[in-house]
Amino acid sequence: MANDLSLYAAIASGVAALVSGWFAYLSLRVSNRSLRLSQQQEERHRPHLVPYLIDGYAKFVARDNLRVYGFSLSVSNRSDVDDSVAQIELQLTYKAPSGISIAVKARHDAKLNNVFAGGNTATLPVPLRIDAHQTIAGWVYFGIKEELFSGSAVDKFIIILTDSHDVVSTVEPIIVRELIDETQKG
Amino acid sequence: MKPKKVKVSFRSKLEASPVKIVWDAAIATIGVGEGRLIPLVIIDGSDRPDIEELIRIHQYLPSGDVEIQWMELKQGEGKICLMLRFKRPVELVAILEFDMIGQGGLIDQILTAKAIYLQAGREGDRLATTVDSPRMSVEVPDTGFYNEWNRMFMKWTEKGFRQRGLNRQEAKSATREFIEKWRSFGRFRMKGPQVE
Repeated sequence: MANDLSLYAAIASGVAALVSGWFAYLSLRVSNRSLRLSQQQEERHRPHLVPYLIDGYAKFVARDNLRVYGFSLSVSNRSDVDDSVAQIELQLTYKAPSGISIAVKARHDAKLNNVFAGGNTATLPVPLRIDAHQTIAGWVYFGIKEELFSGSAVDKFIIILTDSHDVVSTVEPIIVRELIDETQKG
Repeated sequence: MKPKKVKVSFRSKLEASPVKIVWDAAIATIGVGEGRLIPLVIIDGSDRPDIEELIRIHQYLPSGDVEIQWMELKQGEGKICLMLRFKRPVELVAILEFDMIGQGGLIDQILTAKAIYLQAGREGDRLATTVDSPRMSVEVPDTGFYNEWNRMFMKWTEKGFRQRGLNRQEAKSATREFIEKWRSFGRFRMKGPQVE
């Protein structure tokens, strides 16, 4: 009789342990899920700008001996917080006369918008405010003196956007079309 | 401010090595840095073609960004370095190494003028023979190093005089006189024409 009782007690305590283990497992799953959710929420609060390249052109301005690059960009703010673009630069990689590869950065110059389409393009101003989950589109322009390249071609372009938190986003134009002004040609 | 040990990271071994200085001089120009006498160093461009290119393209671009840091390298007893970390228009690091005894006056003048000119050249180049070469000015603001420098300038100038055979007392007095005269010369300013 006493043996039966102790057996029942052992079984009951085993079942209780299993049940409490099950509940512990369930609460672990719930807490993991809520941790994941809060991490996702935190991630969405991090500044995150995504640039997208729509088009890119280059034009030589003989009067100023200037090579002007124009890129049509859209910039999306995918985070839950407002952000602003503090700087837009074009990094050009070319071969220097000594043979080494050099990456030089030029800043966006909104005043160069008259080089393309007579200034009738929507130019992105800098600094540029982009609210949460908003997308802004427009043109950015970069002017480089022709002497800088000393005859060598550009191997690579990268457009670099730096936001007010110093977070950098980049987009790489592969094909930049050359525009030739007919009136200049004549 | 007390100097502290820090580990600095570089992109390549080349950037981590000091740049060879082949000549130094100073230029005072009306309208540049209020006519202050700004030191110039000619660096050997054959070792660092990237710096040579940066100086060349600088004339076609607006001013860029640079961070500066005075430091002593490990096993660099008697030397002091000025690390220039360029951010724009080209990202690169240049370390200028100066000898405390031979180039103490040059370091002092960089700190006084708060600027330095960089020019690329080759062994044997002098300012007089390369006046038309491109050069770039770099602002060297006070990072809190000046007080520490005062102590070092005294110590190493005195050491230099001792090496030339002066006794401790004579070296001390010669150091004081040299620094006073050097700094009064360094305060020279090129003045523009007076407008009546």
